[in-house]
Amino acid sequence: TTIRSFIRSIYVATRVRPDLVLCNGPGTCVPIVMIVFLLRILGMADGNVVFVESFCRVHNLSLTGKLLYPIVDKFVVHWPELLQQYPRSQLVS
Amino acid sequence: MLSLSSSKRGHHGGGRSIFVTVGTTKFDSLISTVSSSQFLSQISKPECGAYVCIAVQYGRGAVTPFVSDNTSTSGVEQISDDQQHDSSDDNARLVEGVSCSSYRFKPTLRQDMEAADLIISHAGAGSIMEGLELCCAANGGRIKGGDATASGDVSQKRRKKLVVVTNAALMNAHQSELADALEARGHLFVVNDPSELLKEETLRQIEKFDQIPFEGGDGGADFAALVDNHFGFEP
Repeated sequence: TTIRSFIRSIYVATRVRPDLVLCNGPGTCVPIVMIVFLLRILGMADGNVVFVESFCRVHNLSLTGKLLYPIVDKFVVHWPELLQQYPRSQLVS
Repeated sequence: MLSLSSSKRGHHGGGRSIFVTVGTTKFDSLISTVSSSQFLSQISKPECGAYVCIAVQYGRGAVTPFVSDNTSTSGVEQISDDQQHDSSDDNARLVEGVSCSSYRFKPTLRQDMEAADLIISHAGAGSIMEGLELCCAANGGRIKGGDATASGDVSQKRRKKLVVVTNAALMNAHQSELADALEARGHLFVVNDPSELLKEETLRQIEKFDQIPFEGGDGGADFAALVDNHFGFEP
């Protein structure tokens, strides 16, 4: 199903060409974010991604968070404990 | 039928009440513990809070509180769609001098949580957040993001508290991560096993616990500003 959603995401991302993708954690957002990022590298679209990590994550990131941390434009966390380990992240109360 | 929300403080002569919630989950060891005679006789003691009323929301559990033949040998009950909304599950009784009632689910637990002096919750993020919001309102804290309104009666020395019980049987290590982080900041009291609640020492500690209101977020204003800022929009 991941493969299927990946293919579907290519279709959606290229058709919609979102300026902004907001996502908050479940693994389902990984294909979309990766494709939006890929399109930007290829110069085919200009989408930005803001990822909000789960409020339950205090000391370490979720798997999705870890995967997407390098490629998103804004990475939002809710606990200051994460800022040291992930300096690119931003705290929102 | 007795239920917490219909019994105002005056109804029990100013008596205090406990509300136990497991949300949509199943937490049989907690439910067995809080419905046991041992627990009920402890909580009615003055040094443990002098509670006179307890309501238990037991979700998908196999254990039904406050019934005399409480066996789970028949295995897990099938939860049909009807039962999901069956709030007439109230089986109210008087046990060890404490008014006890229970139900599986209600459309919203807010009223019961508002009426209680002590909320004992599983460590689910949603239940924790709702509990914190209501405690903050009741204890006179400022709510920035939530929609609870502060009650006027903050002169009461006995404040509203939240106890969170983590479930070791679940593999969710990050459940206790949230509870522990909030406890470290003084916003709630963590119990790591339901059996701890049977100990008088634990109950005394809870009674003495001076909870710091969790003033929550700002309803998203910070986040909105962050996104706007990223695109170069001025606030």
